Amino acid sequence: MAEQTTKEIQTEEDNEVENNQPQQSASHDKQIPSEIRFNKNIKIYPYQRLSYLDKGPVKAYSAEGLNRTNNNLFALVCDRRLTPRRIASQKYANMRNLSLVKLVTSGKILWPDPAEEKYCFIYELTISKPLIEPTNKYPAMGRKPEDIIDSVVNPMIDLLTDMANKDLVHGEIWPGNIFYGGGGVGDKVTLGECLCLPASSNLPPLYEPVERALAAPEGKGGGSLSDDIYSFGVTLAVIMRSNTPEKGMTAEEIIQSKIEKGSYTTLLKDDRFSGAILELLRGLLYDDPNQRWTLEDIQAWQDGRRLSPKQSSPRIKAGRPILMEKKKYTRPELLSIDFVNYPVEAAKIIENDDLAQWIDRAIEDKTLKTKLEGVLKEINNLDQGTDFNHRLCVAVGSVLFPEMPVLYKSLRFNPRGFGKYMTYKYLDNGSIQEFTEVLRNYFPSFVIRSQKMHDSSALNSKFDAGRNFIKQTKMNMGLERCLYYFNPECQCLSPIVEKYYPITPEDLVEALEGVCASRLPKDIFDRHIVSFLSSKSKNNIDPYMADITASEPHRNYLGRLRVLATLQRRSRMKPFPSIAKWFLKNIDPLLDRFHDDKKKKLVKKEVERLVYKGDLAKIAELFDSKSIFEEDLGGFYLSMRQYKKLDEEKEKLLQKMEDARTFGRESGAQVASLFGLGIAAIVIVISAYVNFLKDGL
Amino acid sequence: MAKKKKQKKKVVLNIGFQGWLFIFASLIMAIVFMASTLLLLVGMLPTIIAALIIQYKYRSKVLTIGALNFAGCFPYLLNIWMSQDRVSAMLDAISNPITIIVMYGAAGIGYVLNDFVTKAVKVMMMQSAKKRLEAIEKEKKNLEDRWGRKVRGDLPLDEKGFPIVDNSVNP
Repeated sequence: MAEQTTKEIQTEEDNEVENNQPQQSASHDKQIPSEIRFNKNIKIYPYQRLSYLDKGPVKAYSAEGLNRTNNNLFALVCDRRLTPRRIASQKYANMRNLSLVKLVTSGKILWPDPAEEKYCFIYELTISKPLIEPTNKYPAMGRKPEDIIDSVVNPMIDLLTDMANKDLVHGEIWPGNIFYGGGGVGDKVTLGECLCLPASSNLPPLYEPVERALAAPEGKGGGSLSDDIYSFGVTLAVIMRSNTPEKGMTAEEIIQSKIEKGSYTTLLKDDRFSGAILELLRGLLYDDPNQRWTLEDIQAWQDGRRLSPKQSSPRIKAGRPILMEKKKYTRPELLSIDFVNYPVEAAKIIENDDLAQWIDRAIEDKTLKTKLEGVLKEINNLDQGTDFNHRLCVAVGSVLFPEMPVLYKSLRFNPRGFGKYMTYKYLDNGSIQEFTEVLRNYFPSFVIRSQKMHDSSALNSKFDAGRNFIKQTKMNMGLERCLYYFNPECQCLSPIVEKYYPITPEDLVEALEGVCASRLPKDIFDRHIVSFLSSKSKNNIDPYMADITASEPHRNYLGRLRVLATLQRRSRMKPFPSIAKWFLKNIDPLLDRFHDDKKKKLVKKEVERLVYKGDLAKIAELFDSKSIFEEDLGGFYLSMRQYKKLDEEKEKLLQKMEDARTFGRESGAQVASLFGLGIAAIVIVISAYVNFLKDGL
Repeated sequence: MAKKKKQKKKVVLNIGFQGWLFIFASLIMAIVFMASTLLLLVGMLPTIIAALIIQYKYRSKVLTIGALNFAGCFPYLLNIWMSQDRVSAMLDAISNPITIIVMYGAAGIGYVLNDFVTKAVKVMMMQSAKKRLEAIEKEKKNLEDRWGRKVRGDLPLDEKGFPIVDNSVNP
């Protein structure tokens, strides 16, 4: 089955080739068709919505597989702003667990309303309703532990094990994404998919550890197995509890309660559990990820070994509160979370030493105080410029609450989720000034360092590279480059191909072909396209970068042509007559580099001939030979000399003609003397002859 | 002046041995062929005058006059050479006005011929020069059409042969 899935995933390209004309289709047919072909074997029915399978902005539609054992499918059509987890989909497709919705295939599809390409995941429809309505904010199912051991607990533990083996973090384990029915036997449940949105972006904050719940849905980052285990714990708690102690609380209040009282108390203070299930719940709901049960602990529990629940070490609480904006704080975590709301007041208590004294006297944590002093010294050495208070808050916040995400102005993200968050904000409202500020300054490094991530050096290097990109104004640099660098799964966001969904350089070239087929754009490259290609296909574009970014139009033209020709040749792609047509239309700057008008006409004629073949590589080859330009230059200098000679000859002639009296006189006299000599010779010969005749000789 | 004198002295000196030998031989020949020499001296008088008054650069005109003048003298010269008494034949010829008219008339014809042919050639050459000018202009235009205005060579060019655009003038 898995092999079949892989094969179907490999057929994405066929599907994309069939569906690469969104603009044309839009103009031909405004009506939504009753069915859309994903590839040869799958039909999607846009009128048959499956709203119970929707994932926020991602809508679910009924689909049908042809020539399949199970032809009952559903499609999730992604939102362009929210980058789907395409890389994780490869691991997901290799999963062979009946408790997970089976991925059939994924890829781009031409969606009719609005007419544009979208990314789409097709799954087997073996599930029915979710355990709870996704809109239910304070769920409590009141199921008995013994009822859910076989139907929920054991299948989910097996599934978590399988996912851990495949190094797949699900990120959306909650009752709204767990469904009745499915591939399992009896009343076993099936976990829904997790690919169509950035990881955990559809997961309510209740089901997340505090540090992830604080981040914006799109900026949570990939997460870890430990986060999945926590979500599983909250899911079990919700399924089994009969009361909702957090009822009426906002997301912020739930987070505050989890920090002050712990997750277990926040969720289950009104319910009583005992025995094995209590151990499991306590183990899964530890707020400290280091204390939280690992998969091995869970498996041990499953095998019947009873682990004595460790006493959860409470979070630090100060002996006396600190005041900020007339509000009292006894927890450093809550104080640091509120820094972002009151940056000026926060800076005051940091700079007037109130905070340091509070840590020293009320918390009495020397290590924390030393860390604070170190961070303050470091950040004061950096450029203080505008918005220093905000940066100071992030840096100091990373000391008070090391697991906290970056909370900067309106941004809330974990460093790993920066790319997808930036993509979302860019496409949502286009304003990403704050992301630029994050990249220009060094403060994400404080957060990365404090969180002691296993990949912290790689993340730091990434932000350093991002800072380097943002400082440069080259066409393949700037914010656009950062978008593709931090979010490698991002489609090309160029307005030129806005109706398309190019995810590879080859897709992009095909999209450009589609664009050129409907209307020749002013330019075929922009900062997005160059940055996208530079990120995805460094070897193909970087050799020509100097040409693409040059100020001379003919070099721009040649750079563009050579990049696309290289892609076409290396990937053995189909002919691109429409792109070739664009190059023909815009060939003038290059033709102007020929001195010889005849040559220009010949070259243009040759390009015109190649346009119909769509062979960009052949067109590029025309200009690759140095001799073609050298011959032209040689001819030009020869003609220049010839022109000069003509000028000199003309000058001389004019000078001679200026004096009409003397012009030709000398030559005329010479001709006349020749005539005279000739006549004289004739006269002499005749007179001699006559004389000799007279004398009878 | 001193320089001129020196130059003149040099000219005299430059005649050389061969020159002196030629002058000497000519004098001997003139004495030997006294009758012919005298006839030619009288008959070729227009040519001698023309040689003296016509500028050096128009010497071909003297050649035309001289050639026809000699052609006019030649029948009488032949007559002297065929006579027994060459001196009296020479005196008869010189004393006959018809002879003088023929000899000088021939020189006149030479003068007219030179004038006519020179003018005719001048007109022809002027026409030819005008045609050449037109051809040059056409050829230049063809070059400009094919290679552009820069082929004139009056613009500063870069190493690839393209005009260097002065951005300070046209920002």
